[in-house]
Amino acid sequence: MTNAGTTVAVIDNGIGVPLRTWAPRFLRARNLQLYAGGLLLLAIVALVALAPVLTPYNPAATDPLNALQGFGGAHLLGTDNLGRDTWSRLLYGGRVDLTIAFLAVLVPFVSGVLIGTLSGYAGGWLDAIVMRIADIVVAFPFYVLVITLVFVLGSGERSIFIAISTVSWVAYARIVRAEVLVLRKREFIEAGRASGIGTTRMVFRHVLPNVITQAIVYSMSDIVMNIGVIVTLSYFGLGIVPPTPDWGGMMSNGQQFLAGGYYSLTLVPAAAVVLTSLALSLVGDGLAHALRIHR
Amino acid sequence: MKKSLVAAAGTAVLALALAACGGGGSGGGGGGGASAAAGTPKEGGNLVMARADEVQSLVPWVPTDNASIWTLEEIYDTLLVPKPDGHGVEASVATSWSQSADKLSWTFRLRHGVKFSNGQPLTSADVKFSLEQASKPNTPFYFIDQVIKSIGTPDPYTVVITTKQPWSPLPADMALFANSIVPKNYDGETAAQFAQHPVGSGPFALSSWVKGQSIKLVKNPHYWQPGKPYLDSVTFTVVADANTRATQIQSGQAQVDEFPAYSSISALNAANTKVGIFDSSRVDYFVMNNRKAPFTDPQVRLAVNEAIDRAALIKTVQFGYGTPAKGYMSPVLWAYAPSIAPPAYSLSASKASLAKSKYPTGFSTTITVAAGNDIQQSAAQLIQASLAQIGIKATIATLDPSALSTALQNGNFDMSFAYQTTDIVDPDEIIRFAGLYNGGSNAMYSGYNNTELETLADKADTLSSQTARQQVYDQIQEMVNQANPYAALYYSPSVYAFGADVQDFHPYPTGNYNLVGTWLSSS
Amino acid sequence: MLRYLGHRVLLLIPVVFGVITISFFLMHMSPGDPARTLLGPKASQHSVDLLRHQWGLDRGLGWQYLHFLGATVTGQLGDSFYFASPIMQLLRLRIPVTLLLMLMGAIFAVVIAVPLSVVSTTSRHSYSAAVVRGFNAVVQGMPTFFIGSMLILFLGLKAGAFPAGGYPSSGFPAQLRALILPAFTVALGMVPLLVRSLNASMTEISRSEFVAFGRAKGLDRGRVMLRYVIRNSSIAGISILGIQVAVLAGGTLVVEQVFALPGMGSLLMDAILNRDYPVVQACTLTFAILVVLIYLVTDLLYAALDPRVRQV
Repeated sequence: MTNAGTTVAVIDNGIGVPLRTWAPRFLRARNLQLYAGGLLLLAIVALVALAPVLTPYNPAATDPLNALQGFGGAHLLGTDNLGRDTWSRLLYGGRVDLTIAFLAVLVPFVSGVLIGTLSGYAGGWLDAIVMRIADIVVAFPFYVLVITLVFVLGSGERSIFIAISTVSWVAYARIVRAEVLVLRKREFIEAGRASGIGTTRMVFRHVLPNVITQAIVYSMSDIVMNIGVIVTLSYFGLGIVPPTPDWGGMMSNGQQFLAGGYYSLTLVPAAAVVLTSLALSLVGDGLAHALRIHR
Repeated sequence: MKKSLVAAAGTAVLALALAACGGGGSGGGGGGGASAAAGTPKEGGNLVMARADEVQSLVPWVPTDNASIWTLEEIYDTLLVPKPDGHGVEASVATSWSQSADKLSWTFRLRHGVKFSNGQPLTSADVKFSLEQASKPNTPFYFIDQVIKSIGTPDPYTVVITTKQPWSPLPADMALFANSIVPKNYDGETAAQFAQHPVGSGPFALSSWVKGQSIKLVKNPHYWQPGKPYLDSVTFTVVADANTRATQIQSGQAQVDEFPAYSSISALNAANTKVGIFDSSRVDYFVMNNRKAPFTDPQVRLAVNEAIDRAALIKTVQFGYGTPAKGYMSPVLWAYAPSIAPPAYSLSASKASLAKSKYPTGFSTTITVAAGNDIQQSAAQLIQASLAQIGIKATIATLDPSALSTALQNGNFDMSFAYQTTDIVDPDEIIRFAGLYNGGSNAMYSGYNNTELETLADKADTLSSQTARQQVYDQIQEMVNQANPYAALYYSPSVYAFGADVQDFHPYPTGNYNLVGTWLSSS
Repeated sequence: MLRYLGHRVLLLIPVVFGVITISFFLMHMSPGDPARTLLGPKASQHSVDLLRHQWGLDRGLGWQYLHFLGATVTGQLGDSFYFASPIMQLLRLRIPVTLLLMLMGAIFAVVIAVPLSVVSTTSRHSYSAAVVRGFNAVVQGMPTFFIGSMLILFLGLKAGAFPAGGYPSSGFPAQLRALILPAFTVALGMVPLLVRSLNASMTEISRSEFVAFGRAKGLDRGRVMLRYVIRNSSIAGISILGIQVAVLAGGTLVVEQVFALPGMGSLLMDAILNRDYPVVQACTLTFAILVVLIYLVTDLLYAALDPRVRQV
């Protein structure tokens, strides 16, 4: 209910509990999270995309004489222990991390959704086998699997990508399969089958579009988790190979200087990670909210 | 993260008749420890030392990792021990030692009254048994004892070691941790049982051991040095993260932090904590694979050596703790040759050398580093930047320590890092290990093979005069310097942070903690 | 019910089998030699070969695999390469630490997540929901080791309230105290997803028919929350928590490294680095069994609370 003429609005948050918010009209009815998150994400992506333009220094240029400088002066965010400009490394590092995190979601997304849809739709022994494989993958301690795969495949982006993809598809498969199991019983599917529509067409034109929304929402937090994985791999020394900058490498490089009181080396990339995660989470929540309303 | 390659060890020769016992000064690495003796030692207290690595075994002839070695040195005795400055050996369980006239045997007289922690007296039979175990071919340091032909025990307090050839380093070899003395026949137990409950005659005895987590040693009530050790007990804990260790020192949870990060040293030299910089025999190298092109070309190797700015490396990577290396031998050993002059840092000279090689326009190569080793990563990046300036494009590859070890052993690398520390205070071990192809590491994995060096090293071991040996060792080091199989980077100190109440903590250059004289002023 | 239980148990065997097989082949495919790692660079190749022979590493991979399977099935975990002592002894000391850490972490996570979720879904003010969401997003983005080292630095050192890592070998109260910061770190890793799921299920349930029915009957909001929403959300919540805890089983790795805790995670990490094959196998086996047990318990609880599930 709105009280026309005043700025007080009441919003139903779904629990049947009325809220009051002192917000101007244009803000209250819309999906604030989605917009805020989207804007923030766009800003971050723009910054890292424009890295060559925005950064005066080569991120790999060492300058030992100017090591461990603080903020300001010639270096906006200071320098690291080898004299490299933190701001430049931050932006270029963002490119690497965001690209890998995003790409490492694509493959599991596509494969997981397909596998989950087929498995859920077909049922029977195919479903049983697929689910067992999924169980095995998940039962394996995650970092152990990833670390060992990196050992076997050698370090670097390609291995990280493969290692993450091997494990990530399970979540998508599970989410989608659960949706498919519910959907299977719905009338329009039964009707479709009764009228003889082939399996492939059933799956792609009728089942898939209905189950994909949850997967999309999940993928936002998956990107966040991927960034976390890349960063943690760097902590173990198995991340992106230097001198290519990346936030994880910057953080783990900065760890050794904490006891000496040099916090910015770790805190600056950490802040970048947190901001990006915030943006992605907001977008994810916003999407969930938006899609729920339109159901 | 796990340790790098190569265990430390040092042996000292000298003793006896050698007048020219090298200077007593401490070499590279900086001044002595900061735990000055403040007043008379107090008895009692439990010292907690936090270290990154765990102990693998406490049986003298089994482990090669420093954590195990430095721990077992507190439990056992050896016939002789290194002198505090590392330039010789002094008496321990053996009170005197002499070489026979024909130079083919050494006689050691044992001290009376030495007892194991279980109360049993230590006699020559125990020494013979122990040395025999250390000489078995499947033990890591048997190559040190290879020269022993037989061991005689004419009476309970005399040991006669006969060698296959005249061997001056033998007294130093007897100070090697692997030659520690255990009870004969493991006092009736099997080797496996003994490994779980080792017994020695050293200042401390094993009290409890939680594998991979902590080891507690207690004072040996039968220890032969009266009034010592001062400490009631010592506990070694495993704390992998350097920041956590630093926090533990500052909060008093631990009293000693082994190897704090260089960058934290100034912060740790605060009110309630101190940092000790001690001499170490550690030498770091940047190694090139001499078996693979383009490093088969001596001009290329020279060019690389000239492109490395050692001073910048020390300043940036080691925060100033270390001195640029000259020859490949550490100043801690008496064979150090200060007259050796490695190629000076000069990019123009480097470009000129490269121009004279078969690859005047440069080439692409790889630098392999150990995963988790921040120092190697930083050093590699700095060197990468330098090499780029002369036209050598290096990419950095990371391998986990185990894989790297295999790669170095098998020669599957282009450029990498390696270091060595000595196990004995005699230069014989490292002259061979770091310079000779058949010294144990193929000349620090470089594959450099100069047979003339083998002959020289063998000759030096038969000479009794230290001056004469020094001359030969100077020759060897100069030849290696000319060949540039690797770039000797710097000599590093060993660094410990400790609480203000820790007194008289002075590890030896061989790494031995020497806790027998340490005490806590708070006890 | 018993048939359900039996059915679930049977499904778990292939999972365990799959996990240990994968870990076996992964380890053997990694470069690096356990014998060389143990003996160090100064040992001769001859010594290394002798040791490899002693450990059976010079046999064919197939033989080694069958030998390993046989030993595992009969419960012989063998000796650690690195420590040369029975693996059972090692496990006996390490498992309790990790289990305790997981338990405390799960408890902390629930204690933090449930109130957060209740607040954010029922509050009259939209900003508290926003604050919770913001907190969630921030925490989810922070890598575990970062949270851990910050906690050690600020709560361990500056405040001196908690030990900075480490784990006393005796004294249960002291051991619990040493696990507080690590458990908190672990909990923070689980809270965001937990809150999100609880929110989703609470919202969904409160829109559902029986809640509407309850309100129509005149029950006040508080009782509606308590009797219907929370109790029914907890079903889904248990399921999510179960998954989180199961994932946690292998995930204590990082926390154990940072806080120097002698648990299964750090044992496994060290064993991988040392190429201590028998210990790696034993640890992955233990984790696999632990994970399937957690899933089993979760499924059983779920089935006990929600009768619809049992018709599987």
